[in-house]
Amino acid sequence: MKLTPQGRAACRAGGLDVGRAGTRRKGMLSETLWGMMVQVWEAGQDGLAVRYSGGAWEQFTGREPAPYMRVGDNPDGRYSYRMHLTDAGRDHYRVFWDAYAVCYQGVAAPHPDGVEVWPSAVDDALARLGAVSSTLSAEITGSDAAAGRLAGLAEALPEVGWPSLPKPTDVPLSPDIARAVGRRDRAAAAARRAVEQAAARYKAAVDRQAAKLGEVLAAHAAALEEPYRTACIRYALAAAAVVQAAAAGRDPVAALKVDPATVRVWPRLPDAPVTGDIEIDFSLTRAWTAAGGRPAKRGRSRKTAPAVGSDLMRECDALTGYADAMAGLVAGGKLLRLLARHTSR
Amino acid sequence: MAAQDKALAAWQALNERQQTYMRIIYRADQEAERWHKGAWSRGERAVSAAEWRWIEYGPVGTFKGASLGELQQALADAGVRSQGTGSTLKVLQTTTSSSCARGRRSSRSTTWT
Repeated sequence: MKLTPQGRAACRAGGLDVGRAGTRRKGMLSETLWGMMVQVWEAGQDGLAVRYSGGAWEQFTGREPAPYMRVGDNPDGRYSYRMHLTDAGRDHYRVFWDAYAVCYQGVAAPHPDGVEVWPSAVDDALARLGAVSSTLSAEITGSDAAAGRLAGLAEALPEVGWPSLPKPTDVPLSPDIARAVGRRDRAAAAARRAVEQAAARYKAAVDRQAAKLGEVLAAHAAALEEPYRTACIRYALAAAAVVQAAAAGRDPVAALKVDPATVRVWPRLPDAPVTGDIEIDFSLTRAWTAAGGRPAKRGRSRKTAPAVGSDLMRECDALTGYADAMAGLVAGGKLLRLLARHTSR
Repeated sequence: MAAQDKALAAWQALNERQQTYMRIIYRADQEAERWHKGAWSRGERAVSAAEWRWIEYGPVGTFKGASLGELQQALADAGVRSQGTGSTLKVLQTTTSSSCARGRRSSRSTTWT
């Protein structure tokens, strides 16, 4: 197949231009250079400590007629130089900040007037929710794995290595020596029986303790299943609510408070958030489907959307993946920058 | 009508399934474009766009279980590859004033590119 130029134009008109939105205006820096300028801006008054002042930095320091940066010394630090923004550099940052936000959605640049574009508290809260579910996941899989290893513990114990004694022969021996050999054989047999009994008792004790611990581990893992599931749902719901709030221009911090009633809606996976951007919505729906979401059939009520599967770990992994995708989408205000493309046209 | 409005009208004239197909084909097209524009920096010779713009669709009408071509796989991954795929692609090739895509048979008689 081949797209015709008209087909390509139709796709772009339809909004399939995530990679292309960043057509930079005259005078704007490349994405890499913009990222470097943002670092220096973030470093503030003290400037950014750098190891080399050459290379790409020269694009700023050697710029004619007005350099965007100047190099200072950094005598006490590990790095030799410090990069400072000049007035021209700061002006450039202020003037083009909006344009850069639309052009390079991957660079999270702080607002020139210090306005909080995206509350970092939201990213932190989502990261904490994600950490809770991954910690619980590690607890459950770790306990299960340990219980599995315990099952074969007694079999894995080494056998007692019994020394071999000289075999009886037909050579006639004096009665004294024959009696002594007999005594030795009886003593050896008694000792062997005692050792074998002791070893069996030892193995049984190991088995008993292993089984006991196995039960504790299994109960521990089972008791964590419900909290784990809830943690994953909470994470996914919070992330979805944040995406939805960001897309609708509402306060994402308020969206973080997951309504306990929504958690109880489980095992129905609530619909994927809709941002209005065709490409983003397409990937969100894909992640949602992977997490067990099923689109409602036409003509049927959405209430009949089937429950997600019953395999806890698989189901929760998929949910976490869905939530991670959404958390990554909003992190640092990326979604806002992506959506700004539509309003900046 | 300005070119951009015309393109938007062409996009809106497509139904949801056709838009999904266009999205998948567009993505493959843009990936090919990125790859071939980087040929020089990989130390390769640039290939003409007339050649790389053709995206392999895959074998058509062969035995069951034949491995899928690039576009077939992408359509299957998106869950939109079905018995109606041929018709949808045909519509995209013949749609009104601005045909969105073109297909051709490759030298291997059963493979569409």
